Amino acid sequence: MWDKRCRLVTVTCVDLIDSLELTYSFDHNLELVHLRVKAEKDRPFPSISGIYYAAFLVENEIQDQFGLRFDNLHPDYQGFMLLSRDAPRTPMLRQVEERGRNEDAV
Amino acid sequence: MPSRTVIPFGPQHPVFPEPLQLTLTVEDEKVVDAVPGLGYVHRGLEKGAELNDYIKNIYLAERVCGICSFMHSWTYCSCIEELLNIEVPPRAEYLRMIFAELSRVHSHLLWLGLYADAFGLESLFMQCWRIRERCLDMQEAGGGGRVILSTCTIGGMRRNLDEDMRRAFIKEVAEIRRDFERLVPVFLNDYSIKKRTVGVGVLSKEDAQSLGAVGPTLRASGVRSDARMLGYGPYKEVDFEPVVEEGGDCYARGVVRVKEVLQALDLITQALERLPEGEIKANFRGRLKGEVFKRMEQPRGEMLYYVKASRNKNLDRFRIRTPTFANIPPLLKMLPGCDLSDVPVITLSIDPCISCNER
Repeated sequence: MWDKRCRLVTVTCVDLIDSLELTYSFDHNLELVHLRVKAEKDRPFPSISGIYYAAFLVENEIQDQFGLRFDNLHPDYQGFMLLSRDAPRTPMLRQVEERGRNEDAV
Repeated sequence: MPSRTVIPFGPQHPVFPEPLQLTLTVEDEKVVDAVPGLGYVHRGLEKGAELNDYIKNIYLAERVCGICSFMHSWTYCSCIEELLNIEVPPRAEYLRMIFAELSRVHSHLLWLGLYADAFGLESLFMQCWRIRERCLDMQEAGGGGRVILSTCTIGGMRRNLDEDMRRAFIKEVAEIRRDFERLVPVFLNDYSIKKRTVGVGVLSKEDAQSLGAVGPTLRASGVRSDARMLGYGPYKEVDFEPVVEEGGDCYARGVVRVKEVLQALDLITQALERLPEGEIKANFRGRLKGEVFKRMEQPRGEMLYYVKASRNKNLDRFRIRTPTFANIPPLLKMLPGCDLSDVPVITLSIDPCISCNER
């Protein structure tokens, strides 16, 4: 992608309960090209910020919202880029939503 | 060896309309390094969208940003329309384009005003905002709200434009153009503006592409890329050619926006003159299923929406990649090497919208 001079548009993370689905979107002459990979929730995933520097923002955002750790991420906000220290952790994960509901029911 | 100082620039700073923090490492008066501090206006909007039903999300999407709110609702609605296979009536598409370009005009005028304020031209700031007020009045007359219109809905538009209003709009656009054309030579030729902006914050064509810049930031570096070239809505039928500048500095980014205001006014006039007759809203039924990526050009650049749905009413995932999010890495590339006094101008030149950025 880098060799073809594609522009990184974004990375989209979706929680599939048992794993996370990452979609890397690139723009090549106004055409969107998507690459889709699955990541395990509790294993660090390789960062592409070494190749595409611009990816550091979106990878930090995914780290905040989904708790997926990235290897060799720089700068690494340790999961506190958007969220403050006292905010709930990994708010976009499905289980958190369900746990919240159960607590409400009790 | 000169001593290094760390300066926290923002989150509260007179030139920033919104809270962005830049931790600047400064060697004498030269900036060596910049690290952004985000999260001051993070609202968890993407999560909120998963809890709402998909009709309520139109209003949520509009509130991502106060300036380009109409384009957020248009993009969101067109995502849902694609999932439900709704054909939007042509009149509604043209009305959407009119309001979208109107919000581009008012967003660029707002930015040009703030930009003038950043290098100390208070009277130019007032002039830009005075013209912008007329755009807001037009939005109020045609859409019902000054900033957040809430006229875009799934399947079309909520409000029609009658014949008297259409004529009044054409007249008003011509007057806005006349007023703005008196300011254009100031932005293009003024000595003190050129002194503050030419050669400041240069972003090369290669860097702009590899760092993923979008919108005026990308086009000012000589890249011919505009999401409107994709031809969504009525853009395939009107005369449209993206504005491209070669300089890559703050001056070029200003020139791109000045020309885009004139171009947007031209597009509004074209759309008003060609406005087709007919319905403004299509009926729809069906179940939301599938996923869709949609790109549109906002005043600040290309925006990407991702909507995934498998349940009936709620969305599984709603993701927005706003233009400021893409323009922050190029900003971090521009800052090292500049003077501390140029930081406000360079930061403003990407038109940062932090509430978009953090959602």
